[in-house]
Amino acid sequence: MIKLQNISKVYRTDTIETTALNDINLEIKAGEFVAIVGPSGCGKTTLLNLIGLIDSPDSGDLYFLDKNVSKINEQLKTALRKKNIGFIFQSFNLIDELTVYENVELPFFYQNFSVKERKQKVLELLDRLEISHRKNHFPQQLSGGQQQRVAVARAVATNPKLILADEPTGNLDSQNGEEVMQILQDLHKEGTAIVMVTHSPAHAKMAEREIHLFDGKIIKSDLNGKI
Amino acid sequence: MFNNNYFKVAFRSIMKTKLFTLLSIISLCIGILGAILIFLYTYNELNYDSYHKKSDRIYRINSNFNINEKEDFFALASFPIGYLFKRDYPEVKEFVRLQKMPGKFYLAKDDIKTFVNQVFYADSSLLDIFTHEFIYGEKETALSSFESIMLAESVSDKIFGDRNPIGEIVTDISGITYKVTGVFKDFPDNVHLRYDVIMPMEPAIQLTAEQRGPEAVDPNNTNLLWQINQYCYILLDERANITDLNEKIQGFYDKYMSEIGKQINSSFKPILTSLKETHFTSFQWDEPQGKMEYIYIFIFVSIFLLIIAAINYVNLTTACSMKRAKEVGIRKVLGAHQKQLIKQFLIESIMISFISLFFSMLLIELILPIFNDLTGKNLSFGFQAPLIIYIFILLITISIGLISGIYPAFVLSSFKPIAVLKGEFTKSKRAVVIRKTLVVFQYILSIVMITGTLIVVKQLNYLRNYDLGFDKTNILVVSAETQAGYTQKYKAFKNEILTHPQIKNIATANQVFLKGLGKLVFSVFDEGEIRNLGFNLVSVDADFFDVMGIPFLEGNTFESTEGQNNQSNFNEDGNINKFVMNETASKIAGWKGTLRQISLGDSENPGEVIGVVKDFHYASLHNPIEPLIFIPNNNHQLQIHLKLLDKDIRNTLDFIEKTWYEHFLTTPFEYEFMDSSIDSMYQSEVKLSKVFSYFAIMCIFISCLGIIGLAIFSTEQRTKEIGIRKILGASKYSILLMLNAEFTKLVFVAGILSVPIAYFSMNLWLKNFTYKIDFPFTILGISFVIAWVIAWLTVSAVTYKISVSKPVDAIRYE
Repeated sequence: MIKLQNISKVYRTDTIETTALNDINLEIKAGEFVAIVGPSGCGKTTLLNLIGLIDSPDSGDLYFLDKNVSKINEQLKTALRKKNIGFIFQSFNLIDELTVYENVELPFFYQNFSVKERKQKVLELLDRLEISHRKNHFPQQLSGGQQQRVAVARAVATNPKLILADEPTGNLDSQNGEEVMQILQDLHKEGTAIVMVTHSPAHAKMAEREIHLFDGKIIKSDLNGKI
Repeated sequence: MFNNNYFKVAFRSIMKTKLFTLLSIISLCIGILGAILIFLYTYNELNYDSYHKKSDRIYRINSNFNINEKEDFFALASFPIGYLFKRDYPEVKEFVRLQKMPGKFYLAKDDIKTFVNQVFYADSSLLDIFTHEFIYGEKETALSSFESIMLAESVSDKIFGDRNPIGEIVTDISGITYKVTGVFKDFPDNVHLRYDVIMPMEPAIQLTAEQRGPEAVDPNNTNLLWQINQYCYILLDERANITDLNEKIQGFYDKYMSEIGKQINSSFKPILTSLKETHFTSFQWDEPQGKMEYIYIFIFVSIFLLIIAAINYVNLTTACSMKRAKEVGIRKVLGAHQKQLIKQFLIESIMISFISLFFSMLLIELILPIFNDLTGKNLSFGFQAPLIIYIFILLITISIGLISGIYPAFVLSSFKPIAVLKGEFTKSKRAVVIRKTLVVFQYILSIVMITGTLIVVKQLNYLRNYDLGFDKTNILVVSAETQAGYTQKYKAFKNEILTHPQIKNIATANQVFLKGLGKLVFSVFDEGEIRNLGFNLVSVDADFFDVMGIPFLEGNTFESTEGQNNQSNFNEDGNINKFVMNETASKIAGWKGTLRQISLGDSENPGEVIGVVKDFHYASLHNPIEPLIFIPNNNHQLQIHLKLLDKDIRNTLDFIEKTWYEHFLTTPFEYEFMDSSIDSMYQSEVKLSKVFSYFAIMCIFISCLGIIGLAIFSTEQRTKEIGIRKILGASKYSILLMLNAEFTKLVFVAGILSVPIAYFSMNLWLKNFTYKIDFPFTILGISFVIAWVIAWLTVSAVTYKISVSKPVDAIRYE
């Protein structure tokens, strides 16, 4: 589904050059559940952003659904992204000015669903994630766990083939964290590929494969004995 | 009083928010610049004639005639009135009569010849009443002898260079000699009565006495009070009370004029205007005047500009307040009172205001020539400017600093320290609403300004293209001068001119329509009844109607004076017996019978109305058409009108010029096309439209700076949101639309709210015109679209960048 060949990414400021990713080779298959682990600043989020087509590599080739996407323009990326990828962030990244309902509605809106379809699908999702009773609240009025559920609902809204989760449990207490992990596992069982960045070894163990990053390089890949 | 620290901190925070500070400074700089310009203009206008040291005691006698229930106001007065005023009212210390010489005046000294425009005959008391700074000669002797002539410095320079010309002899076109007895400094531009040459009144009076008998110049001859032909100014005694004098002159008519007045169904009232008022009164036959309403308009416009600029400061500062919140929180925790913080922020705003002033002062030297060009003024600004201008500038700078600083100071200083430091501080909803309201207000003003400009331009075009009722195209007017054998010379000139195939016809008149006509009382004879009515009067020859393209409703023109019986328009006594009039005159005369007879003045030998022409506009369209009577002239008059054909005008003009000098060697060939003279009647409207458009551009520009700042601020605030939306699949257009929609809404609201304001204010202005456009609502729509497009483009310049950015940049901003 995704293939990275010799991918590198360098960040530059006026004085400092930081190599975030250095010659990465990686393949993720459809329906696979992959955890990316490593210390802070090792390039986990950068890797996730590249896979999610919200950033581009400086060198190397990136294949998404067997298509080389490392040089395609922003418009095509947007199109691929909105059809195939859902995002979950540590800080939830909900839009403060929109209600729960409106936040979840956004992906449908950008995919030009009709008002009626949007309503039906949003309500379904909210039901499924057990937050319908909060649909008219604003993000600030929810607990962290509830906010992340909304974010998950938004991420899975359009049935993406791939979900990218950047420390989805990082801002949550353990109970809420477990709940979110459960949701991810359920999604995985339904056939969605998941790539998750995490600091929690326990959560990483729930994935089929663990990829260890250090200073922008893959130093180890564990299969967690699941396949 | 102020701790040095205040200034240091103010300076640092100005430097910290460089972009927003820059936007504020540019806005305030333009606002202050506009205010200074308008102040200079207004100061100049309101201090008209202050050059004359006795200006507060000088009054002009104006005439208000009521002839057959028709009121007219004239800037002119009669020959005896000044004398009678001085004799009857002790308040009147001195009077001066000034009579303008029509046309140009030719002056020669040896080989040097020059033409002077503004030449007046005046009593020698002129020099006691009005201020003249003598360069050569003295006040006591300058107008004392019959052959005296006083020159303005510029005229003296032309003829004599920097030589002292006192005692030198100059000659006029007829060879009459004058002795230069004085040279005075040219008047500054804000003096309403201007002249280049002054000659004593005495010889003119004596000439009149010789020609028309001594009673024609007898100041006790009250018949003369009905003939107005000169300006009369009086100087009041230092202790005089103008209110008392105004009361006393109410009895003037009863004492001297009521007897005749009753006979001719007319009355008269003298009206005194102070020198200051004189510039703003618009009586007939006045020298060019100012318009008070334009001063009001300009002041309003400059206030608009200042408000828009101040709003920018308020908006940009409160928008940045998030950045200052932490500072405020810490200061408060450390014990700062709100009062101290307010002081801090006000010092900042006043500092910005002064920085802006500094730049406006640099710019003013650059802008002033352009502004002078627009307004036709000669304003200057520099060290010699009156103190009041500096005081004004200082006041306006401090107050604009205070006004724009006060609200942000309160907002910023009222942050709760705990909330701020705990990070619970969220943007204030109220501040956002106020910011939006202020932007709406800016756009209302901008849209009103654009609408105003477009409506003035539209009205101007309407006036220029209005069907005047005659064919104004290709009519050339050339002024000849009184000279020996003129009639013969003219006839020869005419014969030769008409040989040219591109010249359709030629005619003469005693006046050029657009420059104002004389008004006289006529006796209308109707079935044994005689009515006295006032009509405008012009003396023309037979071909005049053809040249001007004025159609006849009834009858025909005069008999041509070129033929054998060239006296046929006059009876044996030399009285006119043929008249032509316009429709309005015919209606006002209101003959019941079929025989339509009138006579000039109170002559008992009436002539017949042989033709009625269709009404046409012979004055500016500010006024309705007035009754007009044409009388025939037996000798040709000085204003020569030529109707040219469309083709090859340049060559035709060359031909006319060549022919002109063959016949009138000493008179300069100076011509004017009728249509351009018509255009020049709307100079003050042209001026207004120009000033308006420049100020409208400035308003829009400052408003744009404001929304640039706000757009930057709001995109900064929404960076995260934009990133999320992009990750979720938003296209760049949808982001652009979303960001711009916010401002579009504001401009839209402004558009709606500006309708009543623009409608009311522009209708008020249109009331000045008798002939005017209907209020053009389409123009309001156009103004709105202009404002909207400009706002859209401005905002897009800011938002486009973020709309095309990679989503990761937006997320990473966190």
